[in-house]
Amino acid sequence: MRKIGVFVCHCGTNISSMVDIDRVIDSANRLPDVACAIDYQFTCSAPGQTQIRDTIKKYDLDGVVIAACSPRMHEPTFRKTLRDAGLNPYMMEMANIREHTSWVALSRDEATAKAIDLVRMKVAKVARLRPLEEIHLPVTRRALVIGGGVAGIGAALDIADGGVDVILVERSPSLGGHMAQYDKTFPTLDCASCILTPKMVEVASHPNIKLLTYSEVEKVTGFVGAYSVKVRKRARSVNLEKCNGCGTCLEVCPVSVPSEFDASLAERSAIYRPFPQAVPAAPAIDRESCIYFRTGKCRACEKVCPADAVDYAQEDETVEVQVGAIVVATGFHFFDARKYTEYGYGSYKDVISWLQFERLTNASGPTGGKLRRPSDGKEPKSIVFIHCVGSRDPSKGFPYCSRICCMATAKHAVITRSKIPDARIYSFYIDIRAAGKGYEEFVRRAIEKEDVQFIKGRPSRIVQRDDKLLVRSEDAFLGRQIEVEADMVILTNGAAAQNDAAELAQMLGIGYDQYGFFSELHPKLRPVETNRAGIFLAGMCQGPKDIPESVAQASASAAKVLGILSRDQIAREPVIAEVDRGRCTGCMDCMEVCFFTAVEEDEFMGRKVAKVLQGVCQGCGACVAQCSSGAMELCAFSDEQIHAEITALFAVEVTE
Amino acid sequence: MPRTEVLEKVPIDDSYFLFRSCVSSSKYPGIETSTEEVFARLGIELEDSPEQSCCGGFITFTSLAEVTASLPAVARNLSIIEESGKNALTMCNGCHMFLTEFGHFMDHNPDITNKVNEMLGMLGREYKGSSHVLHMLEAVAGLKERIKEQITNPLKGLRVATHYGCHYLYGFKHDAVDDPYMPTVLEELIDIAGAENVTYPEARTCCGSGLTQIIIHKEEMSLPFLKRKLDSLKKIEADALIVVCPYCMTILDRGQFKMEERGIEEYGVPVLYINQLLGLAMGIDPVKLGLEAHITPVKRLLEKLEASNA
Repeated sequence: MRKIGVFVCHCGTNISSMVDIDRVIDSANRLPDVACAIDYQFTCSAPGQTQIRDTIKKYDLDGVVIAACSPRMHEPTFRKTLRDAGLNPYMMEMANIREHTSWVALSRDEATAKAIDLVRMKVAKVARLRPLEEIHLPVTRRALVIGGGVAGIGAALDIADGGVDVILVERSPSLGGHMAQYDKTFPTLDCASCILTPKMVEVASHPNIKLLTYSEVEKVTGFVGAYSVKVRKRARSVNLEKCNGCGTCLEVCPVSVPSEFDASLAERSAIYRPFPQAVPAAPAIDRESCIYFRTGKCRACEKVCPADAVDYAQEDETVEVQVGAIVVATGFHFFDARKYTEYGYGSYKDVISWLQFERLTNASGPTGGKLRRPSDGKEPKSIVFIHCVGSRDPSKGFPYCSRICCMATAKHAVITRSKIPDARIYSFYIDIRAAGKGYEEFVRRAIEKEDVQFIKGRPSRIVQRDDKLLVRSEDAFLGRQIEVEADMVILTNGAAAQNDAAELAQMLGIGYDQYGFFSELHPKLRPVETNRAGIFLAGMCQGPKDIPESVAQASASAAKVLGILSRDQIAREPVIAEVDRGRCTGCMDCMEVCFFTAVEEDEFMGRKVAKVLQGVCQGCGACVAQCSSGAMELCAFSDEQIHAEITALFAVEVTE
Repeated sequence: MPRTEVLEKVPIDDSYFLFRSCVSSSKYPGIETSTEEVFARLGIELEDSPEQSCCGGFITFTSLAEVTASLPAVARNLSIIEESGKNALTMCNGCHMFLTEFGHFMDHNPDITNKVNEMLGMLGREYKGSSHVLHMLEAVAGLKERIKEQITNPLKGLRVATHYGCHYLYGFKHDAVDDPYMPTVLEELIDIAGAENVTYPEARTCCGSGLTQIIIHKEEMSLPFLKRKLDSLKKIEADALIVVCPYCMTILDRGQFKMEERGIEEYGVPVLYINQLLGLAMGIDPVKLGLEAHITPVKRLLEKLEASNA
């Protein structure tokens, strides 16, 4: 017979207002395995925990049920309390009588009845628990950062400065991400590339950072402390060791295709460097548009290269690297404004996207920083900005706020005023969201000092008349329709997840939301961790945010990575699958269903059997459900324990 | 851009139930006759029923009664379509919207359908929810390959502009055959008819109608819209404006007369229903196409055609 202690928490009045604590105690006291049942105002507080420790010793308890909040909240807290009292921390179960009971119940009687049931179930389970030992695993002291935008750069530098080796993988030929495309940053109007490019150079020259550009992560296996990552280094067709970045090849290449970096406002050659300050400076050959790769003729770049660096024979190469932790900083892409056919983006040349505007005002952009209309190169005198194109619009599948666009538009308006002092500038908005240090002041500056007309209203359509664009909208304050004649319209497209975000999340085994943004483990308390231990998030890939937030997240992730890699070993919860080798038939169905590749083949007494890799298993239970011979069992969630809970639920309460 | 997935779903049948529209029957008989003539050329039978009434839209469009007051009329019409066992073809954006929207509403609200059916029971009818209602634009777009084969007199040199009307493309944003703001289905059909597409800035804006505006606000709400549209149309010197809705046709055709009568502006751009244009390209007699019933004269258009064919 077990000696189980039941501790019922009031949680102030969170629980006690809906649950009759006395009746729960009374019912628990009558259960055969229960040695004592007591209540307390705040069981998680220091005196509450002392009470548990003292009671364990006083009654010599061998199991504990804590009826309080969700185990997601305080399970680790109470595990530690048990350990301090000299009891195995896994001899404890929590009955959730707050989130699952008092907070959702409509009547006190029902809530009390449910609390009594839950406690009885957990007592039945605890009576069948067995002590478990934490798993200790060795740590590989190296980190991987995926994505070379401002967040990835920040994370890589912070980790490397902590004395740990970092591998930074970037998909495009250069570091920089979206920030490298921006002209200025809000609200200080700092030059974006002036503050970013030194960081890019620092990455390239840092002794602890190995930079893999034009590369993609293909497969991630293993577990926290010991991940094994396959990286495909795409054939750059230019030898990075030999190339001195002189750029002669760029001038002779006869090909012209739209430049991704200039948002299609300018053209680039087939052998290209995305932008002048690119890191590394060595160009790459875009094989899809290169004449040599399409027809077998040309080789112009090879002929002029003084360093003999052009190498058409290069092939994709897959390297396997071992790391202990991973930071995902894969960024975002801009919402495709063509989905708003009423604005005619893609049909009207002078309706442009926010990114195109950034390139138009950038000194290294296609117009050398002069704000000109794409259609005829004239200086626009009337300019309209439209907020929330692809944000806060459920009809387009994007109901969320992209957070950065209000400020970006205010910035664009202020830049426009400085470039064209006599321009008429209009900004159509739904609401202004300027929550950030110095942000509201910046918007006020745009309105009051820079004479930007902010109009509350969502334009219904844009009509082209001659060389003018007519923007029709409601003015919500005037309560009537208005029409603004514009030379140029800038759509402030929202931030969307990368197109292949879901695939990446599935490959990494991390969660993502309905929009494709990666999910943090807890929205308040674990904002950069993921559901897979040792993988962290930074920047826009987790959700829309501005540059300072991205950088802060990068530093937070770096701190988390350094925390893991500073240890020789890491401890893991022993709630994992276990094989009964006597029952296993070796069918390996479990291996098929295992999402984390935690099952492998083994041999036992001359037979093929399954083996669970302790460090890899996440305890999801897929293999347990799949196993036809009942050989797989999940520690702390065994069939016996769950049956006991179910039986207890339907047991009739013993009355005296 | 036309939505291929919608186009693929258009049922191509040997015969359809032709749902007549009040406006076309009373104001523009040519819409019906041209439809009958064109579909006869395509080898498709059209059946109608003297039992059919107004779709029911008038009550709601004019805000005379609650929206649900239209339901018995809509349900009765749908039961007549069901009885024919055919897919229905509507010539008017409003008819299409009412039959489809209210049919959908009843299919998802069984309590209301039961009430409606109680009333229909008094007439010996029942709404079952088994009909499929097509818009003329869907049908002709779905039949474009067959139409191509029937073009005998390509409308060479004819400058043609389009107007789609709000209630079909906007009302069915996700199910309509084309995008509401950048549609191109009609332009493709005009190409097939051999005419030249011309576009004007206000091509995709409302004609200014909306029954409420016409009846309640009349001048101050409706006319500026119409004028803006017609002014823009006049500048491009189109020979004809093509519509797919009798109501838009009424506003755009008779509106020109109204403007002229009040001394506001002269326009003189004939307004044709899509099947009237296709009919001309198939060499059908203009009289049979009912072009003489138009208020804005089509004479100049016919003369130009004759000259280019001679």
